[in-house]
Amino acid sequence: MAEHSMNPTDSESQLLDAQLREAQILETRITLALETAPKPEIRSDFAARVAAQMPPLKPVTLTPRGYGRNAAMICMAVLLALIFAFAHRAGASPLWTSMEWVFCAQFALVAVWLAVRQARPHFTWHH
Amino acid sequence: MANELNFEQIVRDHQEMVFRTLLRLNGSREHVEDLAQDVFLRLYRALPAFRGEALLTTYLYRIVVNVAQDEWKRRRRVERPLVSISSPVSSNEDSDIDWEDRLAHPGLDAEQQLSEKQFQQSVELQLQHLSDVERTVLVLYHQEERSYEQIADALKMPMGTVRTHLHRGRKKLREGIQQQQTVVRRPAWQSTR
Repeated sequence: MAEHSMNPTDSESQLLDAQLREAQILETRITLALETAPKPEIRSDFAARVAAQMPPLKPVTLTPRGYGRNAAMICMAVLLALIFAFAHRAGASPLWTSMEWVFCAQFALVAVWLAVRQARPHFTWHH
Repeated sequence: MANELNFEQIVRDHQEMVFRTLLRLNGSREHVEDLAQDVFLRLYRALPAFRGEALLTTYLYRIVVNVAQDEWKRRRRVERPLVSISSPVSSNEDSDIDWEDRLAHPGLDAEQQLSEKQFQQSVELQLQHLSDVERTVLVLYHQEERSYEQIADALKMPMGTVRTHLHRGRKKLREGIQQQQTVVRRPAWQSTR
């Protein structure tokens, strides 16, 4: 008989188990409740009405300012002038030679940037 | 690409998601249609600038959250009591919801159905007691099944913050429900003492 009687630690652990189980059940129920989406009542003509109510969009008129392009053109002109201006000194010393190469490289980079920019397609929106 | 999109089709494709998210976020059926219209109006205005960097859905979630936030601000100014989303608009709809519920849980008996419905209502109620951001994160994560990354993108916050809000929101929700259940279980004579 004494073997079957529960000691305090057994009853405590059983109580803890029960509480843990209850907490797990509650967690599952909360998750299920959160995952249950409310059922909205949407009128069948809602989409048509909304689309009809939209104000007509003004066609997007983009007036290209071209600040970047103008700056690039100016840079290219200046670089070209520098290349020609210091061309006669290019062979004089390694410093001038490397300067000349730097100008050429910068000129090429700006030219490539301009070419890529020109080739990029323009995005337009029509209603 | 954008000019080929038919706006009515976009509305039709996303209206269900917009309505259910607004319903859950606002906890009220009141003005939901107006709010949904506002969402699509904002989307319509933003479409010319939309270049497909993000999914249209993610973009739309961001708009839905913004519209819901504006509504919360408006409500705080007016301070009107909320009408629960579980409360029917008319008696006719009430009977419809009951039938839907019964069909949704064919295995449950009447008592279990009632218990589940009460529990659902209790979750909805506690959801409205959370902070706006916690509620939004919980709805987007559980109901809309969005990933941490998508929620972070929609709410413009780091993923760690999303995780924190989710964890804190669930904790508050659990505690609120436990508290509510304790109050319900406690006999009336005990609570009056």
